[in-house]
Amino acid sequence: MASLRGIRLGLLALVVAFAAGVAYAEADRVALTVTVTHLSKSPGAIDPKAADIHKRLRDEFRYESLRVLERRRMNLRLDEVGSLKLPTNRWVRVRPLHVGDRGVLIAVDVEGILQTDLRVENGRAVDIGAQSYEGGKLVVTLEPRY
Amino acid sequence: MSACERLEPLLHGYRDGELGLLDRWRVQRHVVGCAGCGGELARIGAVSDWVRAAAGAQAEPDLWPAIAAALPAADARRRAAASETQAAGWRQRLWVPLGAATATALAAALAALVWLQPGPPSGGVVRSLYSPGQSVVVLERADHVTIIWVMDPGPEDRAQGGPRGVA
Repeated sequence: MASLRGIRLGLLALVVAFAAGVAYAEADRVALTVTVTHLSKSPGAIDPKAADIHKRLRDEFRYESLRVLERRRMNLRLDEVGSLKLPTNRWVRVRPLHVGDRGVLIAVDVEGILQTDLRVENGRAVDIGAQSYEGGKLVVTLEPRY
Repeated sequence: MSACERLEPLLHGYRDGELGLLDRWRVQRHVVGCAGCGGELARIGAVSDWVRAAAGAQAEPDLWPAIAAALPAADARRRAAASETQAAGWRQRLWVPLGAATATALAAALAALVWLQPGPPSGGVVRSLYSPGQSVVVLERADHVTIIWVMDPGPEDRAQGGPRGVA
């Protein structure tokens, strides 16, 4: 009976160790959603897919329309570069550098325009008004999950 | 992969004090002997400080000098009031210390109010920023919204004046 209990405890320990290992491995990857939105003064609709972005920007900027041009989900290892091309042919490159208690550190490069390092908490978003485009502005939104 | 390539991604975490004991030791040991990484670490620190100073630091009114300047005057008033009190009788003797105590309590409450104001979150989202030839506005709101806005150098953007305008 005692040995059966020992086996059960051993199995439980194995399961716990395996789960911890999986959690550790998952922390090495960052799911990063990159959204490119066009914000414009031209009359138009607010894209329902950009509702969250609109909620964050509406109090800060004047615009009449908001349209999601592209949304890409990237599953990146630490130090792996993900890239996406803007309609202006400039590249946006993102690279998660470090995951810590206060969020994931991401290096962002909007080609020829901006280089920045951001520490973003899980599930939070950062909006970057990157470049003028067709009478408006291209906004790149980063949302990490890890 | 060289030691520099391996450790460079850890420099930000090292500066923020977020590394574990082993990683911190590794970076510390490497930075001492590597001029390149040492310089990079110094650059990260300088840029972070600059960004924090430019974007995060809101000018909080420092009321202490005014309070300190007012204290001798309050003392003088209290002394004058006390001398008047001796002549005026026991009622004023009661009211003057009470007034001084109230003033002190108000000053303390004011100082506490200033100190307890919620400031920008320590260690903001934007850790470094470089935008050659273009102005950038960083908004870090209390509701965890962070917006980085690159101002294009065109005349339209300047007329718009950044936030509140489209570009």
